[in-house]
Amino acid sequence: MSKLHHRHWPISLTLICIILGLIIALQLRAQENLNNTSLYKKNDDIVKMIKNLEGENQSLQAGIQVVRDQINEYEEEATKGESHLKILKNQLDDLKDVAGLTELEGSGVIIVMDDNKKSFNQLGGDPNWYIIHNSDLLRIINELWAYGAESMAVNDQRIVMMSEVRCVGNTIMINAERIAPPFEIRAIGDPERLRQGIEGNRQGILYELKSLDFPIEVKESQVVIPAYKKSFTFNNVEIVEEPKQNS
Amino acid sequence: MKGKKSIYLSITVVCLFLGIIVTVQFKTNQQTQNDLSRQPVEDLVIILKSLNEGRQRLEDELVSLRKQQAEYETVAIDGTQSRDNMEKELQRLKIATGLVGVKGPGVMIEIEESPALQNYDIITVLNELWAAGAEGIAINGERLAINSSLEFREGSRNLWTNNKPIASPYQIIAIGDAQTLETSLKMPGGVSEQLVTLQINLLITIEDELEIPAYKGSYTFEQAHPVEEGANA
Repeated sequence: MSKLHHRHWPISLTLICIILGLIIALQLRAQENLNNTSLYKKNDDIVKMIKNLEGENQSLQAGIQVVRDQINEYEEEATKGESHLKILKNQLDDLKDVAGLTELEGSGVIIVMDDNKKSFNQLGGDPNWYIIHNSDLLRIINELWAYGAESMAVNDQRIVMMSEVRCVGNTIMINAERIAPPFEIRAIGDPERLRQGIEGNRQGILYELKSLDFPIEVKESQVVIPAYKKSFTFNNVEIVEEPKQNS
Repeated sequence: MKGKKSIYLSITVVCLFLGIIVTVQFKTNQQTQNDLSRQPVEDLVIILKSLNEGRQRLEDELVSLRKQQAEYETVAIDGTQSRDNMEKELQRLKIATGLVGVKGPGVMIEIEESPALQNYDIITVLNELWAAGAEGIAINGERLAINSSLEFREGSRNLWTNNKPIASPYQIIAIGDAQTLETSLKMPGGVSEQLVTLQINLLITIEDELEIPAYKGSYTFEQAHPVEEGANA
């Protein structure tokens, strides 16, 4: 018996080594292909530019935050002892909350959506079938507003009126910033209504993604929504004066 | 016995290598997917362009905020000046929340009636308009605010927005740089082309002056409240 086994060892070992050799060869080739394409060399320059711009935008945002805080202080100061300005200041503060310029907290829901790596590994096919797309995010945002969300953020990007959810190849951008999966959508609102709404909607995006086996988590929670750090500059609109109504 | 041991050792070593190689292979694949430098160059150019536009907007914002700041600083803080400043800021925020009617150049988009039309087809159009720098949008006379949604409801053939039914044909008005708005909708492979494949046609016209009404709904915060400063520290 044991003699027979001994005879088999060299064969197995040889087989394993052949497979090993093949895998290494494949690996090396794949690597070489990736590295040698001149396209990717060109890409490196653009990637550098992208990283630089992201850095610049970060510091511009920080600068804006500083000036906004400063102006807020001036507003406070100007209002001291001026009761007629106090009303204006209160109005201004309320609008800042609504428009997205301040950090908000309250009860609500947190939804986490991730790419369906498990099914991709098991079933293969087009990787596009297994990733979260910008349309999925647009749909969940739309549903949350419909179920009475008061404020929302996706991966730390506050959703304001002009927020876009763009898809560029494999990259999703919100408020002109790159965001990556897993996507965490936080919404303030009546937690039960929000959760039941999005989970119970048979035409909804959660129902669709869950039926395709995407990893989706929904939980009621206390949430914090960050402030919008970008611009509110309007160059093309002019306010239409409404006819004065004395009521 | 000695020979057997060394065989076990060999196999262990081989398996170890195998494991490492498989892991590396897997990792390379994953990196390839997420790594920026592995994305097609056209996509990178679009990201770059979008970041550039983002920077332009941030710079504009900083300039206008600095002006506001300077006004507070140079003018001895007297009531009238402060009032002016605050009112200007209030107006800006009213535009950003849709609480005032606005006018300006822009595009008008008519969506031809189609049984294939879904609410998210329209959401895609709106999203494209915001991405192209729209400063205000209305659909069938309903101003789109931060919390506006678009949905079909059970038992109704109409689309609903701001808790009101709106009927087909749908007409979207977006105010902003008209040329940019039009170009981004009509981009090859863009929204307009994608919708045509679903037999949904967009009729886009550029206008010098369009007007959209104020949002008549409300923003009520029942759960949300501002985070007190320093509370996080």
